[in-house]
Amino acid sequence: MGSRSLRIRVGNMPYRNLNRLIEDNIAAGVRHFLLENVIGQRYIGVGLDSGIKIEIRGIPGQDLGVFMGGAEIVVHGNAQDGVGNTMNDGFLVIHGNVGDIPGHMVRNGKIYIKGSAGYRVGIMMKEYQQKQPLMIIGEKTGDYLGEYMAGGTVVVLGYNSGLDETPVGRHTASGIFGGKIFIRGKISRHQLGEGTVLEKAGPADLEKIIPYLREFAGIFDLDLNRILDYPFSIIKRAGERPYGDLYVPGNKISRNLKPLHRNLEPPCSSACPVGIPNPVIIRKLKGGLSEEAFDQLDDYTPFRYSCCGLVCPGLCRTACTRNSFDGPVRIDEIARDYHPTERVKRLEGLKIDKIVIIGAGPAGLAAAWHLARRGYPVDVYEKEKDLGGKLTHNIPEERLTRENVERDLKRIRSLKINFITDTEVDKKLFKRFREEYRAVIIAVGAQNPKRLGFPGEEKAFSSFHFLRSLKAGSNSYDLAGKEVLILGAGNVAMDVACECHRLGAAAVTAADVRKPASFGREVERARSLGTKILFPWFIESYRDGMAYFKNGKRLKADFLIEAVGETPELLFLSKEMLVSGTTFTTNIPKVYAAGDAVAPGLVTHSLGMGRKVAGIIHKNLQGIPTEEETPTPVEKKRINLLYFRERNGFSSPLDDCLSCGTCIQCDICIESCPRKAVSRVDESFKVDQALCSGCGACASVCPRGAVTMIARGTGV
Amino acid sequence: MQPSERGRLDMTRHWLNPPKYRPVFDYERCSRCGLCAEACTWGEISLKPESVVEGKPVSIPVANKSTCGACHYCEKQCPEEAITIVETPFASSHLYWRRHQKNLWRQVDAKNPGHILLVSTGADSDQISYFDHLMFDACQVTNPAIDPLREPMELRTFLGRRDPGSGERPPLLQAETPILFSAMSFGSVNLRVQIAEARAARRLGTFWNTGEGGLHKDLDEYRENTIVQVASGRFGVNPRFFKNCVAVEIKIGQGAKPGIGGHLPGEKVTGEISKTRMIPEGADALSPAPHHDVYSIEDLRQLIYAIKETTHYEKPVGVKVSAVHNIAPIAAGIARAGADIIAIDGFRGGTGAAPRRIRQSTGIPIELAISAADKRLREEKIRHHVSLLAAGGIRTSADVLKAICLGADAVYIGTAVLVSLGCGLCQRCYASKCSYGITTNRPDLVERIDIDLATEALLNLIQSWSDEIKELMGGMGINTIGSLVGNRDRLRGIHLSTLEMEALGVKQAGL
Repeated sequence: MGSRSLRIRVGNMPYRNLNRLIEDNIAAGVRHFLLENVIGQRYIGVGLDSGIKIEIRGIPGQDLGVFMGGAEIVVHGNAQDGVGNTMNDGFLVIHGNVGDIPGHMVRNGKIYIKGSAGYRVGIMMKEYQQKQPLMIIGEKTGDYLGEYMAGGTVVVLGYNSGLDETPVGRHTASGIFGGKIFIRGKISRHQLGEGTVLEKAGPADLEKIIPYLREFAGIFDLDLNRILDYPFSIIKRAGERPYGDLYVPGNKISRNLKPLHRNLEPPCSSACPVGIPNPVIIRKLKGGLSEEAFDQLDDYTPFRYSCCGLVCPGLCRTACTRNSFDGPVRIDEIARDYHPTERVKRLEGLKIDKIVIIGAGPAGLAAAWHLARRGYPVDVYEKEKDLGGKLTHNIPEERLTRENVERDLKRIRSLKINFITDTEVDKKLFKRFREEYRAVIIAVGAQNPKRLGFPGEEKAFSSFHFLRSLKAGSNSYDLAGKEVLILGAGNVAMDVACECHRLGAAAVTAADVRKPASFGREVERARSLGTKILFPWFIESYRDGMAYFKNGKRLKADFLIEAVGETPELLFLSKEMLVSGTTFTTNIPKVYAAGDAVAPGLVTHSLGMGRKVAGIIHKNLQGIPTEEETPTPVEKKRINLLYFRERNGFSSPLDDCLSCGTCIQCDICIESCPRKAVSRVDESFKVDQALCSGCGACASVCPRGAVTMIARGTGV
Repeated sequence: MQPSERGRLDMTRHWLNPPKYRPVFDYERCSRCGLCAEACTWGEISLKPESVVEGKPVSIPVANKSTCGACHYCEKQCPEEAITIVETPFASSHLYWRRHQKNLWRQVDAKNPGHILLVSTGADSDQISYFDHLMFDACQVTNPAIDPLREPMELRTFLGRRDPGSGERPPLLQAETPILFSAMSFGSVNLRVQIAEARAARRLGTFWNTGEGGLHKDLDEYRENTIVQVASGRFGVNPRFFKNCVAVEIKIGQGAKPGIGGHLPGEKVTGEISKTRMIPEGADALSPAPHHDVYSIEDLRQLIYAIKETTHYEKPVGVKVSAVHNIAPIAAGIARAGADIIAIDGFRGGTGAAPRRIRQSTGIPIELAISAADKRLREEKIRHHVSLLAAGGIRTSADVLKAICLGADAVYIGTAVLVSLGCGLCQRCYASKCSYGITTNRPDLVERIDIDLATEALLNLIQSWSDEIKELMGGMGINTIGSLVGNRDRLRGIHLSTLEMEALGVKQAGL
């Protein structure tokens, strides 16, 4: 039938009749209507689909094009209120002015108005995917332009206004939460509603509307250049979700918690001054990744064999969770069975900052090791001929042979550290150190035996010299059948006691002023050999082979040994040294201190300090912030002993580790999640936040305390 | 406990809300199946290993004492019936403040943003329910009662304009029972619930209402029983929507939140909801407080006729308003504006989300509103121009009939629909975590609704209420529901003041 046109003289025809007439003719194939003498008929074009065009001469009534589905309407004159109300699609062209609320709730299509519009223009225009409505007003609008706007674009041109006039009223864009409003002409902040942003429209913004402006200018015979000659402002919502935070749940709807899979520090590592992460190492060893395990161990200690394996009393073992049922993991055994190969991996490239260390004992060597692995040239001065300090010179051969120390020393030497032995540091040399090196570490240990100061003390031997001379092979002590009294009952005293038994002493007694500080294997061994330990016994005097105590008691003592510790010898310093216990810096610039020179302790304490001071120097020299992340220890109660059984007699010590605080990917959290919100990819876990209710089952079933519930909105 | 493990005093705990409800587990009955933890979407039930078998934990459920809102889902799902929800009333020595302390803490919690308290469902406050103070009449000796099993009882109700003057025959809705499903939008409930409503409506010969969230295309086939709703946000209003319905309702207000708009948070605007509402995913769906093209009765008339124009006068157009103080003149105005049906929603009406203060203290009870509107329309001799629908707080078939006696032609039920599907009325629909899978669109939870079973429940609901209404009518000696509309003679008030009875138009019992 083709496209047909129909001219209707409307006059007094009621809108209902007019719209039915149009619909009937559409059904009959008419596609183009010319309505003449229109005098306020409402709802013209209601619901009409695309392909229909209506031209209107006269003034259409309210709700022109309401609910329209795609038709085109051209009005050669003015229109009234509600132009394009709730229009789904279509094209409205008004060659004149319009009343209030044009473009109310428009969802798609275009509305071009040559003249001005009244109040509440483009209220809650919406957009959805490809449906992007657009309204252009040639002149001005009243107040409340773009209120509640949710999408689409409104352009107000002020075409015939002066450049200092504003084309819009007040409360513009009140409550806008989507879409954009372009204004050509003056607009100031006080005209805008709350939650809006006013910007200058950039070329990229304008580019999107220029094709439509060209069409608009073409239809109404306006000058596009004049339109574009003047800068446009653009109004948008402030922020992403201006109303996102308006409400608070009136009932509790969420625990606001989410699980975080996070390894916490196991008790053994917390106890170990070096901080060795035993569960991780053991898991690697178990998984056959010994090279990786050794590399990681090297990050902690160079004395894996001699310290961890042999002399360390085992703070880790004391803290071990397994103590709650069948005794600790035998980490010393593991250290002896799985000790690193000779290969030492350097961590970083060579650096130019030279560092000098005074003392090649445990602390000095540990610091040298860690710094050398990071590529620093390190010089180590040692007054003795051999390296190793107390490990080499003081610890009884029975507990630590020179060959065993040598296993570790060999690996340290392979790092090409420059050792200057047989050289005592004096004031002059120390001054040179401070001039030539970027950092000086004092790790001289403690060699001055402390004295208690009681009558007869001059007859007493010091434990330091006693052990050192025995280790050096001396046999000048004849203790056979004698009764030995040791003052002090620490671990050194226990070493002394064992040596005394070895030399044939008839009785060995250790008397301390307080509860003995000795623990672990040393004290067990000394007791098993028959050492008696007494406390609190304060010595008063020693005369004629008899020790008198303040409690009125006395003891026969053919041989008296004082084992009450040593103090460092710092003759090369011209003033007293003060050391910070956390940063290991001293009151002398560039000078750091570590080991027994800072505070007397176990070999492992010295190793820990050596490691820490090396880390601090590295950070200071490289300008890395020094505040360290302190690891969070796993709470004892979070380790679920239900999962663990007593070991059977034949198990390897590697199987004993419960891996406290350390995830082994057992996936019990995944299986136990009531909502199937937890999943794992390789070693990392994912929690679907939409499914997770924050109930905490995963954290509660985790055998190892490696899942922590944290507040939502925090963490990773 | 070691001193280091002790907590610290913490100001942020000043705003902690001690939980009022919690599940209590009977561990002797509990089979350790863990179903309750899966059931609870609120995170209240956690699992704690009790023993370990072959390396796998056997866990007991434990209450977190944190989020339980007494929805009772876990209790109902427990195969061993080992769960009881217990209530621990908030111990406050101050009776006047007791109900409000916890709400205030929720509002001022320095850690959590937001300040308007949001709640769901209708007002839970203990204001008087007039339904409970109205008693039906019954036949004794002087007139015979009717046995509904023996004699036909007519519940069929026509809704719409009866206008004998003009010669036209305006469109009418024919409901086989005076109970319609009230507006609950797609978004506030999920599609399965709406499908169940639509199917039940079709089987029963009554109607369901889309609410303001548009009409999902899967529901087009139920067009003969669908009332679509046009609200201030005009979501999903398009030609398909007007085609696939039998009536259109303009929503001016809602009983739970008279005078304020809606706010569907962006988090809930996902997938199909976004498509049906025709707004981008993740965008906040705000419904303005008024219709910005309706600022007067004249404007309302314009909108009503715009809809009539687009639906060719073939479909009744209803207007839903909240029950407010001057409801009588408002109803008269709406009738004169050309509406065919006026739905009045009392302050007990439900909501997916409303500010608590509005819900609890704005609007008036439906009993007073419907009576006032009916009376005024009769006085103005335009009662036959419209049908009146009462909504908001209808809990039983007796409430239905009392509303009808007070002047309604039929009623809308919403909360009763939810309760029929199992709802425990925990009032947290806005959270989108509904454990029953009713007021959520989360795919994992929606599965908890079986459309066939849900349909069956709604059929049972309407069927049993209809049967009860017949019984009540029989007792009154009335065999057609139409003769009860506005028939206040069949009601008597107890425990009501003279003024209240005057407002309701009922007499004191015993007089």
